[in-house]
Amino acid sequence: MARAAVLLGSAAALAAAFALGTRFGGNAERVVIERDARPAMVTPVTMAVRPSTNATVTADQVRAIVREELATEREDGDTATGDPQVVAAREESAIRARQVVARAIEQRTWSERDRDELLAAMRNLDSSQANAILGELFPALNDGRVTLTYAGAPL
Amino acid sequence: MHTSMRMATGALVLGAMLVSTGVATAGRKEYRDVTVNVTERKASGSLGDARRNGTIQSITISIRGMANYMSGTAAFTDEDGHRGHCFTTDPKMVEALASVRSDGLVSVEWTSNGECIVVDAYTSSRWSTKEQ
Repeated sequence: MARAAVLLGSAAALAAAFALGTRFGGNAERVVIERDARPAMVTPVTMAVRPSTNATVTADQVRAIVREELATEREDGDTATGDPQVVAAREESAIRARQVVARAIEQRTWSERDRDELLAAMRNLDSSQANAILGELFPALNDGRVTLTYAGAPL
Repeated sequence: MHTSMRMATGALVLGAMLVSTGVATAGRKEYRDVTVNVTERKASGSLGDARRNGTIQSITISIRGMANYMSGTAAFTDEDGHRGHCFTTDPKMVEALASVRSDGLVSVEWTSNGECIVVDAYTSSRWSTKEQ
């Protein structure tokens, strides 16, 4: 009887030791796997947050933000054209075109030579630059400040 | 006999000519001189009539393709020498100006800075074709 109790106790101890060993062994494997699955390096993320002391935005602040965004877009657009020399040449053409129109307004006449010079200067402009320049010339033609010296269209 | 046949033939030919002339001149006709109103910023006229009437009237439409945009201009001169001009770089307006034909009537309106805001281009048998 006592021997049977010793055998049963030994069996229980063995079972308990097996169960404990299995559990600790399993945990060790999972820890290793989890470490292997982690990324070697975490990429830092930078976020720009503007502090705000007031929940309401004034009209002036909105205007300032819009101006800032438009200026950024303009810079991006100029960069997108590629060669800075192209951008510089375009600006130079715009200046030349404005000079031709200013001279005509001063002289009060628009000749074929003026037309040809303006067309040559306008070749490299974009539509907004062309609009700004023609928006100076055409009102002067329509209100009589500048007179065509030839028949036909000013451009 | 020969004389009466010749007279009959002549009468037939004359009749045919009259009929054909009548057919050629049939149909509704309208004349549209060039008008320019710089106060209201608008101008209009028929290209054929501007050419035909022998005064200083004129209408000139120009379309130019540049590297980065297209432009169109319209220039009108009425018989008193008044001039009206407008320009555009809006592709739809340029397209409308480009559609003006030599037997067309064109009408434009513009803003204070001379930019075309209305371009109407009509083509009709009622208006004269541009002559040489």
